[in-house]
Amino acid sequence: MRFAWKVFLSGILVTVIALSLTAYWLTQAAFGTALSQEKQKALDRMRMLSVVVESMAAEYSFSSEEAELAGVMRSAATGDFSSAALFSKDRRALYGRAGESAPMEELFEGAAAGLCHVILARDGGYDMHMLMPVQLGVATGYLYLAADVSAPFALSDEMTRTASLITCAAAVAAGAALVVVARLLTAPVRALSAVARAFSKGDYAGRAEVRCADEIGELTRDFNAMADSLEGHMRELAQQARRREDFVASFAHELKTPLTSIIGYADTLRSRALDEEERFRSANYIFTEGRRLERLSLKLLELMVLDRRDFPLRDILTGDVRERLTDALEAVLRGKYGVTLACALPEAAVRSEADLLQTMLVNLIDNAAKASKEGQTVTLTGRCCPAGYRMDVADEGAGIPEKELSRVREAFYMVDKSRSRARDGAGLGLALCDAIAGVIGTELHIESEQGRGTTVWFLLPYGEGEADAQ
Amino acid sequence: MLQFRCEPVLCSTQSLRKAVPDPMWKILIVEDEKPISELVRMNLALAGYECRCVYDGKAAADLLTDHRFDLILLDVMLPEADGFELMEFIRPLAMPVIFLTARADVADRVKGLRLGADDYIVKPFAVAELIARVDVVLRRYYKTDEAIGIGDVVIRPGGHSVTREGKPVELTPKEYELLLLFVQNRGVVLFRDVIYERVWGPGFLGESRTVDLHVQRLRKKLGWETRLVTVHRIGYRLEAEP
Repeated sequence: MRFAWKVFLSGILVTVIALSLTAYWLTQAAFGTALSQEKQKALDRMRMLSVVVESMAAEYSFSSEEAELAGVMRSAATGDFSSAALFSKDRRALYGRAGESAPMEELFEGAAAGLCHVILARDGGYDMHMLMPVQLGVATGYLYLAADVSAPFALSDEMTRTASLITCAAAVAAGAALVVVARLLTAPVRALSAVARAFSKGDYAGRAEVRCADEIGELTRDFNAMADSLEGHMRELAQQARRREDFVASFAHELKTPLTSIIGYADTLRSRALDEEERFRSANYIFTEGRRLERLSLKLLELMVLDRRDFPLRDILTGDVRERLTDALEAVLRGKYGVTLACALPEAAVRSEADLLQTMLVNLIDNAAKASKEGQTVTLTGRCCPAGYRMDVADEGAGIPEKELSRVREAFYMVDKSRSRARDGAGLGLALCDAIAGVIGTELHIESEQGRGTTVWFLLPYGEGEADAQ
Repeated sequence: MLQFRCEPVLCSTQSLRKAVPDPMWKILIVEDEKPISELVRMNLALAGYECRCVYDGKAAADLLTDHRFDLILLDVMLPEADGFELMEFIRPLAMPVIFLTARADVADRVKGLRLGADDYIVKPFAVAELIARVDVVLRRYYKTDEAIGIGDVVIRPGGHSVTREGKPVELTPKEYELLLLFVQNRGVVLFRDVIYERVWGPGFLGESRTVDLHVQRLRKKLGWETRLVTVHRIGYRLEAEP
């Protein structure tokens, strides 16, 4: 059953029961009061009649002849007392008769103790039958009187009719009001339910409007919060899936490109007659592309190893870092790219992993050199900052366009594809550095200005004292 | 087995296609990877095509504004303008295009073909496949049903017909494909695995006699006992000149 129906029916039920009970109680109270008044009136009349009859009988007769008593009754039982009757001690009627329906046996029994009365229904009303013993001179007898007591019963009937009419009218009015109230109450629930249904069908953008501060408003707010977090999760998952897809696509591309050359040249060499120069060129391409494949696999291996292993961090002196870096690297940079390396690392102890830090710096410097033109300088600068030891790797090269900055860390992403290719890039350098930064507990910051160069910096925590001279 | 109905063809020596296409087909290679570009150029040149190489999308567009090529080999991932973008530029020029790309998924292939490319070659590719596809696209695009004459054998690729001394030769579809592969790669040693993969599809298991049996039947039907040379332990070669 719908909630609105439940509200409607239970409201109607409560209204009807409350009104009926009130009406019943009111009717009963009014009826009781009216009936007792009516009875009192009848009894008063009875007593009055008995006083009159007794005094007249006392005055009149000492022998209490029946004829005399009948005469007394004839003069007393007039007007209001026309229903009066007189019975002798042995229950014989001396004057008049009791009403047809009067239960005389019962009354005579009761009248032995005094005034006794019974209310009985008759056609179209109620009668009160009264009987009491009276002193008729020297004899005794019974005096009977009937009174019409229909009025309280009629009043009660009338009140009950009116009450049921009022109850019906009230139920209809309450019903109409309840329909409106129930709709108003359930409107936010229905809105929420519609949004939830749309959500389950895949419309993740819809949110329910919070219209009130009650429990339903709270539920709506909670639902919206749940939807927000779900949507966020889903977006993140989708993004992850897209990144993985991109990675796989890029990886496939990076793998297929050298493979195409290697297979193609080898196939050409084995099946075609080539001249000396073509043969040399083909073999050379197989060699260089094979080396490229080797570099790619080594970098990938390093990336995978980073995922698998825990690296204990030790205290390292920056002097050692510099020593390990410069010699071989400087020669390579000068020979390969014609770029000078300038190092300025003030002495300090930093907490890191020596091999990883070296790999990261070599890759960053290599990247910087690739972005540089011949004759430019790549600088590695250290600075003691309050937050940690800051290392900057800066070049004077082309810089990275702003919209590419957010993607350069992705594996295989290259800003200038053709130039990176020409300089042996696999597009994994920064991805590797980023992964290493995560392992040694730091973060790479890339600042770039097009035409002015790029600076990559990160903060290393200071050493904890026991310098480990490696 | 399905048989090719071969009709007798009368052919004058002028209409016979020579080992070197005449006039030389001009092909533009748009590929940013120098080694691959060079590989394609070297092999197409050996097959008798005239090639021109450019290494990015913009250079290709510049060149295409005032030069005509008979066929364009187009990489998809290119600097400056990618292959799909370039395709939009090429379409009004009415030149056939073969995409040459590392992207193997169906969505990309469909996109390439929808854009109006004539074929789609996925890297890494076999050289024999590249040459065969180039040949097919050129033939289809320019509707050249030039008969290819080798000795007394004349092949009409358009009508799938083969004649020897003017009389039709009945070949099974596999034998016909095998013949075409040899004809497209005249003077080139075709390894058994290459032949198998081109004619029967991927899944060469090494010691298969299928290739040898078909080659023997082809030799017998065409009288090519000396022309279709066995290269010991490797494969076969169709001699360009007897």
